Amino acid sequence: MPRVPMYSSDMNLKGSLPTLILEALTRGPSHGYEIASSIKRRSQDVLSFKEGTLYPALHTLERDGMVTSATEIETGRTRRYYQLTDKGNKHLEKSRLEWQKMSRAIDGILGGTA
Amino acid sequence: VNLETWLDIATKNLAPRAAAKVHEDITAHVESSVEHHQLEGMNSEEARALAVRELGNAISSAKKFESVYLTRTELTRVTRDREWARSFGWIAVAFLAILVYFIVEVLIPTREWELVWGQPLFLLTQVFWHGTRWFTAGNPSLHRYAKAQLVLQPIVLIGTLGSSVFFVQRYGLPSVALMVVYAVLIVAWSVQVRRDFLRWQKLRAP
Repeated sequence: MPRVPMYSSDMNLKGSLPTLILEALTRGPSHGYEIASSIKRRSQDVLSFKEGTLYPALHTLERDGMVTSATEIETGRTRRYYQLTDKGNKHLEKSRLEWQKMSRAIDGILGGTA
Repeated sequence: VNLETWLDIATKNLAPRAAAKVHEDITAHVESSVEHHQLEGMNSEEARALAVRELGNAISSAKKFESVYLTRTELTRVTRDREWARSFGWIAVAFLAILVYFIVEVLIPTREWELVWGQPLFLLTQVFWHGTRWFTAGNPSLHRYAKAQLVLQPIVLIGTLGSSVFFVQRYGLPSVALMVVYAVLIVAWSVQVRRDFLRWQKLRAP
């Protein structure tokens, strides 16, 4: 069975979650709950997802060198903070450009400007 | 579903190190979520139940975690064993073996030893074989099943070879052809035992 990457240039919700995670990490190291809250808040709850799907995506990004992680003890609780790497940053830039290109193309059709 | 059950389901096929990491992340996440819901006015129980519900389907997450942490071979095997267990195919094998046993008994009046005892023995080894594979795939923490498999495999192999020798001697069958079959059987079983052992070691690693 082929291993399917959880990130791709396809901007369906499944494909875009890792990109949204990378974007959330541009503001600095963050833990999973903060990342999930940030995505929901910034999308005004339009982009909602089951929170159990966030961590497989995060762990895939870590496996592929897009993010690194380190644990910290915070008020007696162990938290894992994720941080964007250079590779992740480059991937994010590429995904952002692809998204803008696709967004313009779809807007050209659905926005009635073509 | 409480958090412990959710985590058990989501991490049951992962090696201990990967499972611990998932436990750590999800537990911290749920604790934060519970605090958030309590600030919104929920009591502790309601907040915890909602936080776990918000995680979504545990089996779906388990499959995603497996695709991150298992090798392609392991993923194929876990998927196959999960489907096999779900389909109850091994129960079908058991019933088929019983059916064949009774047909043989009816059709062959002179009850040959290997025919009379061969089928139930085959049935038992098949049920045990697939049953342990299912338990090992579903619950890596139950390492005693993995150990039992490793012990059982050479015993069954020796038993199969011994009964086959008896069969060849009894009916004067061409031994060369059967020896080739034995060789293939031994190689196939050795590969299987090695894979099981390596997987068991990996699952046991801290």
